[in-house]
Amino acid sequence: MMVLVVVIPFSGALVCFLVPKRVRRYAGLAAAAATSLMVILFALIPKGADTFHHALGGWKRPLGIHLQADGLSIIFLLLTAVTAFLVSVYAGPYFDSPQEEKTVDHHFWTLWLLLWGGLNGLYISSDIFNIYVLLELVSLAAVALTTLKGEAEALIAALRYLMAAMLGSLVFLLGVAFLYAEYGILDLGGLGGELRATLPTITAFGLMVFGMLIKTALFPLHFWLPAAHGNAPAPVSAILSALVIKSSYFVLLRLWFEIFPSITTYAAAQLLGAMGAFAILWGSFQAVRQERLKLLVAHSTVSQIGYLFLLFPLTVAQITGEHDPSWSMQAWTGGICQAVSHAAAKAALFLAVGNIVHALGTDRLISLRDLKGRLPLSVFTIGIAGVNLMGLPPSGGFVAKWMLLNAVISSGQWWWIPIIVLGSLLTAGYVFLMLGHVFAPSRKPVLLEPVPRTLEVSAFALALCAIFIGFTTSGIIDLLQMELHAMPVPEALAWSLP
Amino acid sequence: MTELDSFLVYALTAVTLFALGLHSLLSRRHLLRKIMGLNIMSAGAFLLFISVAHRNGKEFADPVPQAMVITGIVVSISATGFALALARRIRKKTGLTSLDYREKPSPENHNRP
Amino acid sequence: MTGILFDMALCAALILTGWRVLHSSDHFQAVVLFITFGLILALAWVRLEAPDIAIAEAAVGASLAGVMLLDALRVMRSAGKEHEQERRWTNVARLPSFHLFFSFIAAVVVLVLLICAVLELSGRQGGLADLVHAELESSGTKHPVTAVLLNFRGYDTWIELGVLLLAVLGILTIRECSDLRSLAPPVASTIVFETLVRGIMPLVLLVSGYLLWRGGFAPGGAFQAGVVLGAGCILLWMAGHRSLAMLGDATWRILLILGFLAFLALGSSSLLHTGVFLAYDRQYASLQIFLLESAATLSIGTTLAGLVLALQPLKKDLSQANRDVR
Repeated sequence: MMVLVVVIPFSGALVCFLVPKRVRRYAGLAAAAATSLMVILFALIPKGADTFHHALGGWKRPLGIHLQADGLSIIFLLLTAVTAFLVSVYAGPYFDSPQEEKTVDHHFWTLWLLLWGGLNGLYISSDIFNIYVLLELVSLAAVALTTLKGEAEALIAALRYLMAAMLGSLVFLLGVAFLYAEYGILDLGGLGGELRATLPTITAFGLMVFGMLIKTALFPLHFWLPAAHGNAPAPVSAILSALVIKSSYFVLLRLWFEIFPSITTYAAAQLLGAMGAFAILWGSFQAVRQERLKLLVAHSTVSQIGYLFLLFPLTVAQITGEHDPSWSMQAWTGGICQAVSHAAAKAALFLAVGNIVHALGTDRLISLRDLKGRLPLSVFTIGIAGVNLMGLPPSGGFVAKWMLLNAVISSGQWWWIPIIVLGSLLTAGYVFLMLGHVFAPSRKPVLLEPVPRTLEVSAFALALCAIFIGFTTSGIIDLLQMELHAMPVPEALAWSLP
Repeated sequence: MTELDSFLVYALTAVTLFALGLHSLLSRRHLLRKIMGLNIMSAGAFLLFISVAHRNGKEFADPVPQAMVITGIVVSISATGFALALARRIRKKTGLTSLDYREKPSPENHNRP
Repeated sequence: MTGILFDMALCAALILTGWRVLHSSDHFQAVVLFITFGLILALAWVRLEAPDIAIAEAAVGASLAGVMLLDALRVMRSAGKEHEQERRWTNVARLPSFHLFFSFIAAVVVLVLLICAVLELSGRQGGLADLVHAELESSGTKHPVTAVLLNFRGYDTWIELGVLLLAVLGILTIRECSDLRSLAPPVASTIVFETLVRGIMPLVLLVSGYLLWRGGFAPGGAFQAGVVLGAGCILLWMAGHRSLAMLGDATWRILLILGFLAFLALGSSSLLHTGVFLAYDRQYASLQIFLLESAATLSIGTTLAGLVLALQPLKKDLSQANRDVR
């Protein structure tokens, strides 16, 4: 059952590759709908040992690869399903519009569905080498999607992205090699149980974390992100910023909390937090300075990624290095809420900006003036998504930042407070920079290209989702109670060593 | 004892190659050198896997790392092919052979959207 | 004792070649050295009792990557015919020296850390070798590496075939074409070369088939067989034959995804019957594995050849160039 969340998008990708161009869009949309439905079904079915554990090929651990899901997996699967479905709805008419006609018989749908399958696979994989292969699949698909427009800027950005992603994967792979050399197993759960604080283990930990930081583009490793996200076609930008970044973040969470919890230290967590803090400030500072709309949004991603990393210092208590339940749960929930609400809000923002670029034919910030109150729905979408990014109520972003702030206060790590406040102010700065231009007097009358209704509505729906997340926090907390190492394993699949 | 020694020789070579590739990736400008650097890094990672496989083996070398390396080689040739295609396209479109570039100040430049 | 000396010499050669690849002044020399590096590495794989990887490395790491790099170098060096060029950028003449300094320091720090970590590795005889050995009987193949690739960790192999597919799709996307039909026909080669290639072709098929069959009990298997097949297609192209591009669009697409599809089909059918993805029927395991491997061989061959062929000139490029000449 669980493996279907990978099988369905992969099958869809093959179907899209084989069917004629005319029907490809509908085949792709059908596959997207089927995948989302499957994920939702999976999240709803009664929870038992058999549903959350799958031994591929029927081989016991540690010989075979096992799939395993917990609450965190379900949250990420769901966030991907909802965002990805709405982006797919958007992508259909987007790639069929006359402006995009020049990208002839493109492979968007095949690439995208392979990417989606890879993301789902990552969320349920419990084998570190399998994670490596899936990461490569996701990266290659993401880079290929970035090049869809074929402009020189996009190609350069794509190659830089590819190099960074390859570097990240290779560093991760070397870490896997060290772990295998030391423990002789690849299974996530098994590794977590056997871990000793030896130098090779710490090296493996450092390598794997570093690899994931490059892929997640945490400051100062974000050098590849703005150009890649800013030059891709709108739906691709949304996919990259909302989903692809989250997949390596997810792997990082898995590493940190499932494999290596016994050797993570207060100092390491503080370091990640500090990098996150710099990311928040630097990203939003750069965003305010941008002249191009899409680059502004891309820099905003750099800054929002920073909030995700405040989770690490706030879950590790000072001195003891233990996970203090009283506020670490708040930090956890806050971090995950941030990941979820950022996915929806940023996807909405990129899609709405895509609409405006489509209508105006340019993405210079200053030309927003020529909108003159037209395209109200897209502008409204930008507004709602902005509210989310700033962390104003009622929105998922508000809940996330509120919980992080609570954790900051109860843990006594007061030094994060100015960062969060200043970050929100700068975020408000770039959101109002966009909205301010919309309401400023126009320079000259401009004829707008008509924007298909579906494009506007799907972007708006995503923004609504971001608001709605603010009301589902209790569900997220419930899901997060189901931790991976506490998940039941079917009797027959228990550990076996000869 | 010799088994272990040869393990050390290969494992040390493996990490040296990895660092060499990393240095090249960071310091060389030409795209082909960067791509070759990535390949040498992956060769280093593979060598570490296989030296471990050799050490672990009794009757035969541990087949699991060997299988992983074959998978890794396929992944790496895919990425290399893709990166080369991108590099060639960039060269053709812009004349650049590296990612360290600056924009020429030209009047047409400012008119571009 | 001589064994360890040989190992040391081999490793020294590896590091030296690796260093020269990255720091020789001439790009062409670097690429040739890179191919040499691949061949020495293949020797190292043999020393480490990994003949499967040795074959794969010699075929891919040295040959195929070498061909692709040489071809790329030729294109990237040629100065003429830059009709498409947007002259908006120039290469930076040289990097600031602090950049070089920083990267050197970073590499040295990483190296020292890694060396310490390697020295600290406990000499524990771990690994999954014993488990593989214990289950080899029921895996449907007699060669342990094939058993891991196709059975115990078949899921990885499935996804890896997906990565290969992605690479070809990615290259086609970059070239702004959707299949090989937009390629300009290859330039006719000399009659001698053409005859030679025609003569070799049956041999290529034979070797490929042999490697595939051999994978059931000895080093060899789908990947190695696929590489040979792909090399055959590339040779055909170089001899002036249209090779893969003469296949119909549908045939080409099906060949490309066949391996991925076969895994998907087998996995889904076992999911339906037994509730387990990618589980083999004990009775027919050998046959199922052989079928999967055959499908994977065809796909890998098509894909690897596609990686090289998709980089050849397109029809529209040639017509553009002709117009320029006129």
